[in-house]
Amino acid sequence: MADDPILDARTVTELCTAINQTYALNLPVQFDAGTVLAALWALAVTVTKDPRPGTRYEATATGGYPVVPALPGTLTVDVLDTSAGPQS
Amino acid sequence: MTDASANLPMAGTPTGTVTTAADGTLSVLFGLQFLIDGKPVTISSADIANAATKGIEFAIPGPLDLGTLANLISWINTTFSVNIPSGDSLPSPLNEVVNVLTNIDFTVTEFHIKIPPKGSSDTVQYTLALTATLASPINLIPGSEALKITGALVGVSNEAQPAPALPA
Repeated sequence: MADDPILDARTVTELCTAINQTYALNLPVQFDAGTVLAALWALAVTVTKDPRPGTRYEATATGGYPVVPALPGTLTVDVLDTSAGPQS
Repeated sequence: MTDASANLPMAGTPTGTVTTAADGTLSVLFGLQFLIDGKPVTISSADIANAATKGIEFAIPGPLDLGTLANLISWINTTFSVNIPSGDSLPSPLNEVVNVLTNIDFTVTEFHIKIPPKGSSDTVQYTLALTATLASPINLIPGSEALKITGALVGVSNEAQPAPALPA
């Protein structure tokens, strides 16, 4: 266990909950069961801290999800540091 | 073959409008990365905060050069269960157009996915469009320079397309 709830997140739901608590945001954390959004938020993710300049955290789903049938996409969530202006 | 990897976004590359903290020091970006005939393409969300009521739309932020796509037609046929004919089965000059598709640079000009909000009976809607400009235009009428094919568009969509405008 890291001493960081964002790094400890194992699903998109857990990630959004941790981001909301850490940064006082209001990201959605729950959707109706059986919907595509609920399936996306249930995906397992791995989170890394400071993966590159300007990005505080990067989360990547551990597997693809067929948002479009037969064309799986990999969900990514980035927490970007915008205090220094737009990132290139 | 053209290596366009330098132009491709890496996984998680920040793009688009995102959910931003009140003090403006932090943003959260949701993205989806796909492989288009083996080339990575990332589309991103414009509005996550209202996902429950409005759904989520992921879109490519702008045209993206993918370089050459040697297996594009077979990739589309296999992935989307369609049957774009091979160049050999088409009449001239369409066969020439299809045959050169493996040797020209394609650009993703449109790629968006709309995930419906909760309670909606709509299905996920998507459109993917790739365009290419021919290095050498192909004459549509043999022996005439009047009409030329200068490019190609290949795409798939499950969205209702607007009917083409008819001449007055």
